This record gives sequence, structure tokens and C-alpha cells, in this order.
Amino acid sequence: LESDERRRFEAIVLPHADAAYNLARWLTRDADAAEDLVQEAFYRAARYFHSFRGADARPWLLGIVRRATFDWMKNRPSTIPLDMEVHDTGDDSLDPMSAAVGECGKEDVRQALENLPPLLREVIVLREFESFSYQQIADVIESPVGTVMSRLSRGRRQLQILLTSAMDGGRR
Amino acid sequence: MNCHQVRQLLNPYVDGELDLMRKVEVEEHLGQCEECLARDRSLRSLRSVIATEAPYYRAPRQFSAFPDASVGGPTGKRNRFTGTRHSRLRLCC
Repeated sequence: LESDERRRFEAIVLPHADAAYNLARWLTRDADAAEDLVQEAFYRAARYFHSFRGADARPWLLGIVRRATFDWMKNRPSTIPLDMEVHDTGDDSLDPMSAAVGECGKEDVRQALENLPPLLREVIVLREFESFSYQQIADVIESPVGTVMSRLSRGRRQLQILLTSAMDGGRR
Repeated sequence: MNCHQVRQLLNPYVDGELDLMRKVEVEEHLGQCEECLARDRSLRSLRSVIATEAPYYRAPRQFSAFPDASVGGPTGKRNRFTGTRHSRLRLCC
């Protein structure tokens, strides 16, 4: 990049390192891999910066992080398939009896989120940590808004099942 | 709107993604239906526990996008993907 472009890149893309690392860390569940993937994503972002046209670089950068991370995951055996149902109750909203998940502790919440299939985990991370709109999430995951809505709904339902199960286990 | 239609819309409702007309319709239904209201509360409770209990992983170091400008030197950790060394100091100096 030319020096002006380089300064612009450093001003509008590099400040999103936390968001990039958080997404990579949640997807890989591996601190070292996440660090390397974010570095790789920044190299890729610099290479393609000339094609960036938007006002907000964060969704654009996170799209690059996501692609790099899924490339990495394809080459690794995982115990969790990309898009697996934990247990589907068939209802799109949450069980009204499970408001008690609000009492779950940090470790239960972290484990439940880590045990979600990556395709469901990523939409939860983008919505809950980055407060992205459905359209921004759709841009990052390169899918229609309807897919975002459906995955968020399934992801939250599965999280509720996992947390309820963790709480039941803790009571025994 | 009936319960089934409202439950399909609860996620976009709590995320503030519904247009005004649908939002009002969902709110009218929630005002009359205890079971759907309980599901709405359950969803908000889940979102709240994620917000308060799940860690946000902050970047452990500064990153550079320009391997040619690296001042990290030979002690820098080698990236397993690119083979280049991280420039841990570049943005700090």
C-alpha cells in the first residue's frame, strides 16, 4: 500500500483487532491459533484494502477473519460438526420455563457457547458481542438475512438447552 | 397474530429488527398472552447472561498488516500460516 493508504488502513482497520481476535478466539477455541489467524487476516485485509468501499471496516475485517478461520477449521478434525443440532424442540422460541438460565455462572456460559456448532456460534458472537445488525451479520457470513435469523434462533435455543442441562447437572 | 406467528418473530423482536407495524403487533399479543410473554422474558434472560458472563477476548498484542516493515526481529513468533514473523513492537513504538 502507498503511505496514504497505509495510514488510512492503520486508522480504520487496525483498531478492530479486539473484535477480530474475539471472533477468531470463539470460533477456534484456541488462543494461539486465534492470534495467528488474526495476523493472517490483517495481511489479507491489507492486500485487498483497495477493494474496501464501505464506511465501517469492522464487518469487512470480520468477514476476512471468518474466512481465514473456516479455512483453518477445514483442515482440522473437530468433535463438533459445523452445523449440528444439539436437540431440536421444533419451537422457534425459547422454553418459558428456562428463565433460570439467567442464574448461570461464567464457566457454564463459556462452555455452552463453545459447544455450539460454529455456524450457530458465530452469529451469536457477532450479535451479542459486536451488536451487529442482521444485515451486518449477513454480510460477514455471506448469507441472506433469513439465514441469520434462523441461525440466531436455533443457536439461542440450543444454548438454552445446554445451559439448562448444565444447571440440572450442577444441582445433582 | 397468533402464538405461532409471534414465536417466530421473538428473536428479531428482542433484537430490535422488526418494522414498526410488526413490533406493535407482537407487543399487542405479548400484552394478552402469558406464555408468549414468558418466552420473551426467557430470551431476554439468555441474552443478558451472555452479556454479563461470557468473556470478550481482547487481542493479546498489537498487530501489523505489513510484514515487510517488521521490527519484531528474529525473536518474533513465526506465523504458522504465512511463515513470516510477527512484528510485536511496530505499533507500540
